[in-house]
Amino acid sequence: MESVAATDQDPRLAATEAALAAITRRATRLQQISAALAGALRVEEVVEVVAAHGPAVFGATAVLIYLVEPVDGPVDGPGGGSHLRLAGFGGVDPERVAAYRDVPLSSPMPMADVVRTGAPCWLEDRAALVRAYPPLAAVELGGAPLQALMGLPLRDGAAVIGGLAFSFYEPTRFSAVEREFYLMVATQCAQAVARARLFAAAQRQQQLLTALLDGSAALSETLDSRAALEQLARMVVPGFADWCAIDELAPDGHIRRVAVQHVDPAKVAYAHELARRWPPDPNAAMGVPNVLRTGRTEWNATLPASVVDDIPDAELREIVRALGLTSYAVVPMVARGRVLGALSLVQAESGRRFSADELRFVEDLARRAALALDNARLYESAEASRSLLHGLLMHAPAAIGLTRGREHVYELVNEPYMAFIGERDVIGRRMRDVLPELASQGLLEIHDRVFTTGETFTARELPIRRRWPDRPEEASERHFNVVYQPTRGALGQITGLATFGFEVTAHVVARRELEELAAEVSRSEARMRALVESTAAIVWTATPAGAVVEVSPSWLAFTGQTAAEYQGGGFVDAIHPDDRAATMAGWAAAVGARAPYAAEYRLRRRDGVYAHMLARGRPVAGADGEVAEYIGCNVDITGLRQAEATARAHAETLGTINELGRLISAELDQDTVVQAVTDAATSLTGAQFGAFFYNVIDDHGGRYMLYTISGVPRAAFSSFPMPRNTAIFAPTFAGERVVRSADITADPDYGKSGPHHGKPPGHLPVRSYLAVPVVSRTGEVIGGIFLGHEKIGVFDERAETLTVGLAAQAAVAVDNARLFGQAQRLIAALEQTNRDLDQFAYVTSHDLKAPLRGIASLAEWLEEDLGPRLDDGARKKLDMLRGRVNRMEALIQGILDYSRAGRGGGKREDVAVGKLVAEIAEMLAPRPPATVEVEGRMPVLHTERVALQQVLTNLIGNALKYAGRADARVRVSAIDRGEWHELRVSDNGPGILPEFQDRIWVIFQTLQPRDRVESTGIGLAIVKKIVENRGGRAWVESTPGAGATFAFTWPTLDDRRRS
Amino acid sequence: MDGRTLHIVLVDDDEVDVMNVQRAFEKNRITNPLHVAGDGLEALALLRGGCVGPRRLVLLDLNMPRMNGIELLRELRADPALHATSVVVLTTSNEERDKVDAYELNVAGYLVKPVTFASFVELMAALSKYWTLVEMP
Repeated sequence: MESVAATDQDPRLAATEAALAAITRRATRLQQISAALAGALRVEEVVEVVAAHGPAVFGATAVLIYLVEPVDGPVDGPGGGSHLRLAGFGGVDPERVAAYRDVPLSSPMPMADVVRTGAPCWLEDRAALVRAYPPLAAVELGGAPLQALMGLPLRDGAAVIGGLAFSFYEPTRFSAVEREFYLMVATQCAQAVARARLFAAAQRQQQLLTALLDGSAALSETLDSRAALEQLARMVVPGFADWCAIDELAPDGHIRRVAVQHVDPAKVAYAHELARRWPPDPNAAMGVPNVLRTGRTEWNATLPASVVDDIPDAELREIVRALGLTSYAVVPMVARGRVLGALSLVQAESGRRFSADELRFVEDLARRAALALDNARLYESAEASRSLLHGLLMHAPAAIGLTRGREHVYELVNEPYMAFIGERDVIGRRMRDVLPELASQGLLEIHDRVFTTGETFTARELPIRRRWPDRPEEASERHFNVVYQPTRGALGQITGLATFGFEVTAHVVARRELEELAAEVSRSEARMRALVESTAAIVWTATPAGAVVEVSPSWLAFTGQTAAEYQGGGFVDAIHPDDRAATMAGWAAAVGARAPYAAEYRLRRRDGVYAHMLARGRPVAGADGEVAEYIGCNVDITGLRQAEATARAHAETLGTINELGRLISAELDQDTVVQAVTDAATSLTGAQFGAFFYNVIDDHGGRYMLYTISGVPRAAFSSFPMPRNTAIFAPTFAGERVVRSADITADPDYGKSGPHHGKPPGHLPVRSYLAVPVVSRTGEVIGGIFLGHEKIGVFDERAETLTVGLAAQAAVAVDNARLFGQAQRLIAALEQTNRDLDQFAYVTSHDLKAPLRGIASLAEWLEEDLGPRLDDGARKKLDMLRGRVNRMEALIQGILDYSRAGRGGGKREDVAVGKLVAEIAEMLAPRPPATVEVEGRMPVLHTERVALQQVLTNLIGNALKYAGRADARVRVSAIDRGEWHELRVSDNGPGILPEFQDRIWVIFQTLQPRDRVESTGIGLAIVKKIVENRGGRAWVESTPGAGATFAFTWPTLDDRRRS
Repeated sequence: MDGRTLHIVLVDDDEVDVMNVQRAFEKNRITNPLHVAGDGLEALALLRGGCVGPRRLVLLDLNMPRMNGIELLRELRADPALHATSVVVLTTSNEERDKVDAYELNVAGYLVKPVTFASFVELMAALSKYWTLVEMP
């Protein structure tokens, strides 16, 4: 900003203006980088923002961003951490930083010192730089030696997590205010990095939980062991690991690789090939054999080189080295105390490393997988014996039939039985319907009796009369030896009958065999049930129609229901009332479709507490392929659900903090910032109410205290005086420490200060109390966040950490808002001054013009009235008088023009600069051979046409006017500099001596005698004012005798609002 | 006094400017009666006093003490007897604001006073032609 009076009358005002402009620039840059940082959610994004904005914000040539590694061990004093990794850089070529990618913390480099000590380093000139760090003497850029260096620590609380190094190739001074500003920017960067890390950790946690949950559900659904393991492998890659291999410890002691998954599917076959060519040595001290032998996890967050070096086989060693493994974990799969296999996870391509947290999840997953694998194995062996039995039955020489329930519904009949009946399609039908003639012969009654009493019925040579399939024409009697035997369920209850029969002609030997078989069937079924029961929290069965008739002891044990309560649909009573309808609807739908059943509901435990259950059921097909019954199990997933809820709450908290950070870093209104922080602190800590008392400095430098309230209406507090510096409040208002009390009324300091001795009457009850000071970067206490609750012990450590974090964010935001507010007030004052000056110039020039006109008129009348009486001398004097009046008039017009120049606010439009120059040339109409030419491509700028026209007209006009030769040649060119364009007007005139190059921009200065060129010396001053009003720069480049170039910068997209 | 004669009322506080107009009238042989008022209040008194014939043209300067030109225009437009008075602004002010204000108050012309007398004479000649046209039946 420039003004008439400031230019040559009041250097103090000019200095103030420059300082103000600097403050404004810094506030704007801080605002820009803050907004960009707020949008960066990942560490890499934060680094990109710093690399992109850093040099401009700090006025440096280059910036290097370092982070301390490993991340888990930030430096918090000498000896912590190990080295600095170059996370990003800006303003410098990648080759140039190659040597600085990894800096050991012990090295004698500025950045290592900054991070180690936590103190910034300011090396303002080359001498100091070389003295402190002699090797830096060699650093140069395009021949220019390094002149200054600034190193800022990145602090997250007490810990230094990295640093920023800025290099300057011009001598640079860092004033105290600038240092403060740079440190503030560094703090913001550090907070953004810390926030991004926290956010990434929370996301990872969420991802792990989801995977674990999905995994458990998927595993509990399969009874095929191979499928279970392949599913497990698919679950962990690529979410957890780049590679996954599962090795099974076969019962014979062999190690078999059963599943492999790789981020690159093409490598799966290769991995199998490796395992085949180099089978693991069961006695190896490391890896899968070791884990299978010891049952203990083997884990290396960072793979030591020695592991690869120790591989005895040279070829294998090279292959493993080429794989580029970074981290691995081998986790045992243990079920019921036995090691069944091992789950190996490897990170390579992604460069990730397993954390201890992830390891716990993987172990949990391995345990679940082991259980699923064991179940599947048991099921497979049971299935094998069952099918063996089935084969035996089907091909037995006797008729065998199995029926189920009181109605004797056929479940299984073998070939001889079918031959006996004369039809094949009997499964699922009642014996009464298939063999109606048995009823009249008392045989059905015998079946009923066996079912009821459980007593085996044996008959020799039992006569049965009917029309036989091979002789259907008439009924006849045949004799059979039969055995009707009850079959029993897991608890000994009778579930059906086994019927064996053969004609008496059959051998006694065969009959004995059959009796043994019958016993085997019974035993086998009981074994099946026993094993299923041991695998889940609850096991139950239901009829194909969905009726739950058979008592489930595990259900009774879990819920405390009695058998009577359970049966007849009573089991529903144990399900949470809100879940009953959905559960039963799902059950009915599954049964109706003869499909697997899956549900999740809350089930009342014996102690009355509801547990989250995952229920799975599947139809079990009979020999005929029809559904014979449903078998189901329930798994208690309460722990999982709780973990999930905790993680969700954690993620929400983080989300809120992040949202808040975003809001307040973009917000410049202090009241809005403070209210947002108060609301967030109150809701996140679970406080009943919260208040933020803060100091405000008014326009006149006076201090007073304001407050915001959250959780209760403002009226609840408005009648009380501001808190005073009592023993309870002092630590907060002095910025000394956080006060967290489970019961503030029990605090020894409570109630010691008059006049209220505790709370003023009518104050809301407070027991739990948390007060956190909000301290500005400068150490000034801005205020305090106070949280309260009428219950005791509401605020835990997490609430405290959270509030401290919010207080830090609030401090930065309030600092920003204050800085901005201050700048705004000063800018407003300056603008008012400028307006006053413009008004002054206008009024003055108007008042000057009137008498001038009078002088002109009077001179003319004198000449007219005296006429011939005037001699030549007098006439010449009158001419000169008129000439002076004209020049005076032009000067006054100049002041008017200058006061109006570049006020802005005009309409913005797309201006084709090439066309504009042509128009100006036409208007100025240079007399040939003088020319005005455009060189190269001219841009289209979105701007105020009149202002740009004024600038170009002045410069082109000047060039023509002062060229001092008839063949004046004026060339206009443009250089695209992104947000700005540099426009250049060159002439072939006499040029300007260096000592005059500054003077020409000052109002009313011209280098030519007045009489030779008609000039008011106002043109360049107007150009400068218009250009600088738009944030641009105008300058001259000239070598005397070789012409001059007047150049200025102009915004490409001028959308700045000016008053 | 002939009711058809156009009376010119010059409202200007600057003595030299008044002379300017008078001399320009002489040069152009303009014979219309010329009445002079030093500011807005004097002009109002003159116009309401009955010495000026019914056909009138006011030549109005803007910057004047006591009541300036714009204020006088507002008074005129608010007075039922004078609201139709033809006014031509004759001023040194080239400010956009003044022009807009004047035209909003329905002036017949806005003339910026030239610096030299010669130019002023030309201006008055043009003005005279204008009102001659207006006078024609």
